[in-house]
Amino acid sequence: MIDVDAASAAILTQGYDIMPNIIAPSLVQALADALNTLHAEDTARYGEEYLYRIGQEGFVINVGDRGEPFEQLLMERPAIGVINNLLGPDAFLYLFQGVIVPPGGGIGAYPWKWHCDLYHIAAEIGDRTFLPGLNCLFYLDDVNSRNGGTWIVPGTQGLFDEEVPYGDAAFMQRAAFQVEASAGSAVIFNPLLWHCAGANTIDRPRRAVKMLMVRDWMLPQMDYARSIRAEVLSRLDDESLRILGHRSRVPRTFKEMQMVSAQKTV
Amino acid sequence: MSHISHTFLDVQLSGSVVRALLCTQGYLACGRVFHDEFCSRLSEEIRLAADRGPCITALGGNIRAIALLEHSDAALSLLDEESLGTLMDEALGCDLILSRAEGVLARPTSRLVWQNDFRQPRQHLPSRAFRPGVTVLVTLDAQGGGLEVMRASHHLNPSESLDAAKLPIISLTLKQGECVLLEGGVSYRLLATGTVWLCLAFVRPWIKPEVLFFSALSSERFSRLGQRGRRWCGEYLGLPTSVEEFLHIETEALESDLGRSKGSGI
Repeated sequence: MIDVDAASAAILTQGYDIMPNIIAPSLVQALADALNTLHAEDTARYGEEYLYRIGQEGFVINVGDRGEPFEQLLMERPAIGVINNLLGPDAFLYLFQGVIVPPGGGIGAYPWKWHCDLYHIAAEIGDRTFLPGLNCLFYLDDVNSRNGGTWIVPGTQGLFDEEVPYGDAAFMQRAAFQVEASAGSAVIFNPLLWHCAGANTIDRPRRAVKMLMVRDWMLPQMDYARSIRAEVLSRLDDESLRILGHRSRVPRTFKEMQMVSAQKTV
Repeated sequence: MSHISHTFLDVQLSGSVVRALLCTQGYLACGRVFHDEFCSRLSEEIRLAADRGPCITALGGNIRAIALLEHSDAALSLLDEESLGTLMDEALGCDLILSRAEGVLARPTSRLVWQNDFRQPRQHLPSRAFRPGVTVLVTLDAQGGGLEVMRASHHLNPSESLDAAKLPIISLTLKQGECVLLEGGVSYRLLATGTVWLCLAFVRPWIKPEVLFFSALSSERFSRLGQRGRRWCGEYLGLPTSVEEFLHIETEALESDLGRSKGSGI
């Protein structure tokens, strides 16, 4: 049972919260197996060299359309109480993908580096307390200092590049923190919190599913409402459709714009 | 489209003055931007667009001919007007996109209703520094048109009512072809009945536009646009609906100035 108020307070102050064991082991295993299969498929289809060059090796795109376990994750939406509490009931997916840190990957290897998500909007917001979304990283393996547990710097949400001395060991030794959690746990954080995948020094990949939820007026990185086949959408409940942005998608025709306007005025 | 260049006349103000006036006052009357002949032509094409549809009836009863760019050559030509482009670059940033491009017909039965554009982002993020968008209004009728602006109302917090705020209401009387810029979130209302207006609303590229013009426009219309027009219509926005499109955009983001900034992924 998640303590929504406590988790929300942690996110608003420290920038993150860790939620232990919020996905059942059977679903964790199904998600991990599905990610392995999809990663192998993508590597065969697009080529490892190409995916590496564009910084997408290890990222499994549009998982909502690519297997029953991901549909189940959408239906279970383990952290939704905290998301609704902090973002309101209209938040939807900016990004939904698998993240695999391969052996040898993580900080120190291309393309992994300290960053915050949505950095391109940070300077425009003009309000360092604003929470544009929530990043939910669901771990499918036990994570620790050896296999790429996520590094985060608590309290850095909303700070600019030059304000976080992540290249300074004296600062990082005191400020940075590496997540250790068991498979099925999640770290939920402000996307503007500075973070990075840790170095994976073992011989097995570290797998996770990332769901980045944002305010419903923000443009997502992918149009999930249109990326997912109708047969998959038909199996999902209303709340899952909302999370996919089905109710807030950008009209692509003038007729659709007219219909959306009519719905808003009803 | 060189034969209709210089349709939009230069606004004799520096970019910093334009931005400062919009940020502080919420509006800027910039004088004459269209010659009479162009106004008449555009006005006629707006009426035609309203007849052909689709249209949206705004809250007060005004008619919005939302597919104007599909029906009006005059309106389409504006998207590549250098002087309009420069003005908007300076007002909101050179990576902005079109959210609305429409003709507005104020009907005799229309009620006076305060409206503001980009209400949703403002509700979540009332920061004074946040600038989601700018609206351009030009009156096209020979008798001119009028509107009222509630000065600085874009700085009101979402919980504050317009009535209680007691902000000054500025009446603007515009002659044919004269233009006013409105800061996103400022409250305004069109006064004159029977007036035809051109309305162009621009938004920052990480905020959802009201319609994606890149897909809403027919390919024949879109093919007439130059680089600026295509960018304004969202050609380089990146809202993929498949893994292949997503990877293509990631590649563009790394290899081309036109790709959208990478927002997340690691």
